[in-house]
Amino acid sequence: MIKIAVIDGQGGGIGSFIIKSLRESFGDKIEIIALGTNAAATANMMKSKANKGASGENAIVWNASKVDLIIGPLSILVANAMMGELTSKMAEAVGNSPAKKFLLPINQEGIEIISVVKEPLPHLVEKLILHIKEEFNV
Amino acid sequence: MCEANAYVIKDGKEEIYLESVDILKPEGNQIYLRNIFGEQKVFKGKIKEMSLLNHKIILEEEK
Repeated sequence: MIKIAVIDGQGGGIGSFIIKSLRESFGDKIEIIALGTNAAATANMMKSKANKGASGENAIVWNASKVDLIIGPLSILVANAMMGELTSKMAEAVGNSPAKKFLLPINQEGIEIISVVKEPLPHLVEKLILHIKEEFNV
Repeated sequence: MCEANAYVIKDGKEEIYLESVDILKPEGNQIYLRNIFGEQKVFKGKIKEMSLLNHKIILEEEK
């Protein structure tokens, strides 16, 4: 069973939407770990039926290398993103992790990825699910 | 079904008010808006126009 970490911060709205869509598509064929940069984000992601949840820097650093796939907004690789909630250690842990990373090109840090077309969140998540199906044969 | 940008008309021009709006709720003479990043704003005024195809919400300030 593939182990997926979904990382989000602040209100956890993006992570929560991702988890809800993953659960609808894959049911219990995947294990989802909700990692919030704060407890409110984790709580919101848990409501969307993640299997486990943990909050804060140490939880993200500890779990990042123990999963097969990391999903989240692009901000999870940017130190001091999400109004400073995403610490350098968190960004380093995600970057260093041997897990595959499927990141959504949405962020508040003014980072534009050239040639990426701006699309609404539900469309990005639809593509994310197709990507997981192709990559992991779930 | 998808998030939209909210704009306010100022001096005849559309000015961005909140990007990637997820929730829009009229509350009396105010409008509560929240985007996908969790940012919230309360706008005093009304909705002038919504174009869901263009993901655009136009707000009008109360005079």
